[in-house]
Amino acid sequence: MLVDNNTCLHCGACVGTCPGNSLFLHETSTIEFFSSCTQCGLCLRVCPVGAIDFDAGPGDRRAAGSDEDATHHPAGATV
Amino acid sequence: MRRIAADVLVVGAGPAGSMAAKFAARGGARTLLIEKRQEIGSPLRCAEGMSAKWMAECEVTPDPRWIASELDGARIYSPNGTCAVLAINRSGKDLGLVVERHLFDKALAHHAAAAGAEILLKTHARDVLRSGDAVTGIVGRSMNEDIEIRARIVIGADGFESQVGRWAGIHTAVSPDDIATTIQYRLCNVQCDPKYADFYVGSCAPAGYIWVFPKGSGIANVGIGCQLSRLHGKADVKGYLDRWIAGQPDLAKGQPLEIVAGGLSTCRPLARTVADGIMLVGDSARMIDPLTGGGIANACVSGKLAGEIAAEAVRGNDSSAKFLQKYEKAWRARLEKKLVRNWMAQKKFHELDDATFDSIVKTLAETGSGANALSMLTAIGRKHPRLVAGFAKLLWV
Repeated sequence: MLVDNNTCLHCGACVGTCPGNSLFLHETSTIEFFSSCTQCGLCLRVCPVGAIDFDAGPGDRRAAGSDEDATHHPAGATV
Repeated sequence: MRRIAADVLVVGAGPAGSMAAKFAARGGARTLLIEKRQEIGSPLRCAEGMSAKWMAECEVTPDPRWIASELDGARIYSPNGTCAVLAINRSGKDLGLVVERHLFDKALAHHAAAAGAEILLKTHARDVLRSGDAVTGIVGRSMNEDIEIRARIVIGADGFESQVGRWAGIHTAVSPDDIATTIQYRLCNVQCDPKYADFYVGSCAPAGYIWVFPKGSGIANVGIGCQLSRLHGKADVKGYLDRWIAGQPDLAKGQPLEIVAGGLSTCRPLARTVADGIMLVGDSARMIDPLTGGGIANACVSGKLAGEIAAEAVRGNDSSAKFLQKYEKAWRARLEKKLVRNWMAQKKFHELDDATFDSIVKTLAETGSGANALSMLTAIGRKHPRLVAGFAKLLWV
């Protein structure tokens, strides 16, 4: 995944959303994708300003779409 | 490498962190509050609307220096334009405020400092320190040097993107169905009623709502929040807001002074918010209200409880998860029922179509309601019992 740093507001929505915790916000200024990223595309969808996109390398592109694309479904909250 | 030792380390100087630091320091703990940014309270990611009911409990006095507007009430607009006007319950000592978060947050940090907490800016954590299973501090960076901070208790107050909890092994990940994303413009040159917060529901904001919060002098926070499950492409949420604003004659000529955005959790309460040596508060503990998206009140209430209990843990030399269950019990007693009820209501309301919203807002307009979630859900439930069937018993306790 790629981040356009000119568009990015550094709000952290992507970091908090990533189910695999594959995103890190460096010192408030840049977003790093770890190699554990599965390109589920949730970050692309959650980014309020559309700063994130798929890496355009061959074989990397997957269509952003439904939640079924996410390979991790965290157990979420239970009472 | 800079090394610091403290009794209580609070990570994040938003409202939850500052509140935790204040009450930990008040309780006699040597307290350090760290903030990754160079300024407390900015950039904000908040609509800046809040009630005042929680303030007395947390020893906060409404201060005109950080209040932009004091509201008479809220107005809810349905898709076909039906409007329900809800009054703030002044006689119940509530206030509806629109605040300046960059000043409010600094005021809360000031209170923490006045209580004895020390503050370090441009200081962020990169990992927790451990001794066995217990968290014993953090490693990170402060300005241009590496830093190691050892503390008997770490309080994670690092917001929606919280890492401290995850590093400590606390499960804080949220399902995509329980994540909302938001974007807001501070618009000048707009017409709006200075005494009312306006909310717009329906397909203009799928599984969410649009808000207009007046800040005085022709300025308003105009924003949107939608569930992630309804967003499919890049910047969908911005598209919804921009299209809606363009269709509002009173707002369409507005010019932005600020863009803010952020993600928020709308999930049920977490199963666990403590581990050996660590507690989570506020947004990092997923305490944002699932129906309204409001987080400040719950952040401050949980922050206060965590600070007090952290100081107790230090005095008693017991920072085990077992002792910290005291915090779990305390915040759940105070907040859990409302969070669960509002989560169930949110799930229901996210399924509704425009016609049903028209009907519900008409009910609110006819029967009247206070400007708070419980009053609204109760009023709606009387006429539309099936909508609240799943959680009705949580309304009348």
